[in-house]
Amino acid sequence: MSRSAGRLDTTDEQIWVEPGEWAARARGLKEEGWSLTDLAGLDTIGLHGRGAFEVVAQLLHPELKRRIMVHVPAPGEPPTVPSVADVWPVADFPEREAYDMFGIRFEGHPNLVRILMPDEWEGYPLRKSYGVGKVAIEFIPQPMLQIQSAGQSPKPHESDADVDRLGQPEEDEMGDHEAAMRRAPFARAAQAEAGEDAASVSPLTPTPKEETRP
Amino acid sequence: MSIAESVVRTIEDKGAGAFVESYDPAEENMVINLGPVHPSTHGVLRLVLELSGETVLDCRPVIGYLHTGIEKECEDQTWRGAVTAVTRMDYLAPFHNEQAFSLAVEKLLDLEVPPRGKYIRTLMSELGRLSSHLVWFGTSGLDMGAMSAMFYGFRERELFLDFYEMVTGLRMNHGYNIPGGVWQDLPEGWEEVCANIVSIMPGRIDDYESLLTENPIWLERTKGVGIMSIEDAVRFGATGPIGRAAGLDWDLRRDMPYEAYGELSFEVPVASEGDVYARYQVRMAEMRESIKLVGQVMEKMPEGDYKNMDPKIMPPPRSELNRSMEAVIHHFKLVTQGYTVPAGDAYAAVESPRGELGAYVVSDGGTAPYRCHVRDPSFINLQSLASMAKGGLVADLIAVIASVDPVMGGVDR
Amino acid sequence: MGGVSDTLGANFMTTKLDKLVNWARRSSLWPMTFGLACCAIEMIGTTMPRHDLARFGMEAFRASPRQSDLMIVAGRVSQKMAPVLRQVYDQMTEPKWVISMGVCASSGGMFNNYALIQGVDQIVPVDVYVPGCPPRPEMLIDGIMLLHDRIIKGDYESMQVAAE
Repeated sequence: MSRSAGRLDTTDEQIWVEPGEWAARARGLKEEGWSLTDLAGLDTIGLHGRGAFEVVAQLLHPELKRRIMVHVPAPGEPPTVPSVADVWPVADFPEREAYDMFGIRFEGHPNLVRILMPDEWEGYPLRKSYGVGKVAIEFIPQPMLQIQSAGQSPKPHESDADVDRLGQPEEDEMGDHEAAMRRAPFARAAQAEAGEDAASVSPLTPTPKEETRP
Repeated sequence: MSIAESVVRTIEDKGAGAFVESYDPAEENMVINLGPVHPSTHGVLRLVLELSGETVLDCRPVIGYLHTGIEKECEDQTWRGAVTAVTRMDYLAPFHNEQAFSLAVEKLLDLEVPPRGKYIRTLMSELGRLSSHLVWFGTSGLDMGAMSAMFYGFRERELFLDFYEMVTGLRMNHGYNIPGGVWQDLPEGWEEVCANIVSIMPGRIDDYESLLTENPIWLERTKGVGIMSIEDAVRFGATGPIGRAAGLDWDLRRDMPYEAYGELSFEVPVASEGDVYARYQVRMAEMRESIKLVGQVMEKMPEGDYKNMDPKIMPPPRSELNRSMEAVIHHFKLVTQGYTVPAGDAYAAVESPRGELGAYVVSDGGTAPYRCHVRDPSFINLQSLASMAKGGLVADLIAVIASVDPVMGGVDR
Repeated sequence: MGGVSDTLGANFMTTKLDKLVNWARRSSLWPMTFGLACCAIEMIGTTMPRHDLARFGMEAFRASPRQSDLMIVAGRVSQKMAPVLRQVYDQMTEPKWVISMGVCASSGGMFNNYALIQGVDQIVPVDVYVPGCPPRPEMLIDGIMLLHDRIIKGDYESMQVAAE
């Protein structure tokens, strides 16, 4: 791996500040000329030895052209750190976002309410204990569609034949072999549910029941 | 009850008045909503306004109507896959999103991008700035009644989209900058298309200027409107064109150079008035500078690798797979599992068309980002909206929103 | 022959009133300005000089739902936006149509997570789905043409009944 040496803007100096000292330290840093560019919450449950929650602030010194990263652990339940919105007014929205996403309370923030999620939302989405919220996608056989012409919405099969709930023609309307082919996957699924050996039934071969038919 | 059902039920219960904050005819001040469905809010920005007649007394942005959970989505992807998620944040500056994220991951990996990769990223970044400013030009013109601006802005934007499509395969949301470089080299014939853009655009920008710069209606609508002082710009962390229009002489490309910007020469336009007109002038001058930068990048474009060919990070080229067993193993590992990134925190920022766009990335040593937070300039810049809008008319507020140029995809993420 | 044709000769054409109304409706759809995310930029691009939606009589996007009869849901629909979207849809005048533009609006797309409605068809009835991330303007135009075909066939009445 080609390692870089002396690239520009790589100095990420990181400092840890105790939550009790954060407000005073922020004032001191501001007087030194540091300005806040970003503030984010962090769920550190998966990072060993770093507590439960952290607030991470990115500071920039425009004259020195340097950045530092400040980590403030947020202990307690709910996790609490002092707000720096009175030191750097720019922290207003980012602190609300960290509250919204992680439930971190910022003591002294003028208007600590949810910012991105709806007000009545329950839970804090970016916590590791909060799932991604995936909706399971079910792959069910699609209805047999009959497109008559471009521009028409897909409609269920329109003919005299009866169709079942998935839009498939009823079995007595088609040939025996076709019916067996169509039924095979369902038969397998039904067998699997009943605890039978599902592997013995291939979807492409007729079920044993079909084979014994005269 | 599913969420969709509860949504429908809420509407049915509360009726059409669900979103009116307060209306009391006896009171002098009225609280009304602007948005989230409003043609001049650039997406789904909602502003709660307190009005006395036509004068704005207070303005409170309510955001989150486009919250997509992209930061959570990144934690569910590989490092390479997360690029495709972050590119959809600020959808007018997709290259910059990817660039900031890739730079941060490269810091963690301590991975060097070859010179050609850096120059390609710089090229796409500057073209991205141009195409984004063209949308700003069109929409802000439209917001203030100059409808032709919209047509011209989007006409020229198609030139850029054609080039993006040629290079990345997509018109928007490219996923082109990846940790280690760019995922594909520039195609044959890119110089002609780029040269075409560089030769056409200056004349077109002259056209725009002749349309608006001395237009009396435009001047009436923009001069002295929505003034932000340099103190306010610092207080509210305004970066990008709106900061520079207020006199904040700060540009990451010049002051903390990344990619190839240290080797290129360009001016950073700065104004001091801090009104809507100054922002217009700054952005127009920035477009001209970007064209110059594109020309310089074309001249200096080095040969060589366009991405770091480290086999632990990049899948091997297709031709290798037929010959080398190791290449097959690497390819299989990278495609099925992805690469691991050393544990640590990194922050990297780029100058997007709207200001400092930074990515804060945390790794726990695994194959997926542990946390990926993006500092979007629209999100931060929106905080200064109230200070610009207070005391002005509602019509001025529209001009101010247009000049801040917020992209809600970036604000809400 | 008799009646109208006898009196007026070839100057008049007789047709079913429904057909005439459908033809008129198809030829001047009024889309609602409802841009949400990335797709909105491509939707704007569709109306702009290169793709020129004015060819189909629908370049005028209306800002008020009361004046529009087509909602192009262009972009991802968040849980917070969903009630607003439904309200705007309810405010539109009948008959009305919905185009779901892009995969995010159609099915949640690549964002299968807590924040997004997985398909706008959960809250409003959709007539045409346009895939893509974002769809090219040509794809949106194709979707609109499909909708035009449906309208002129009068295929939408059943949709309305189903919605009610």
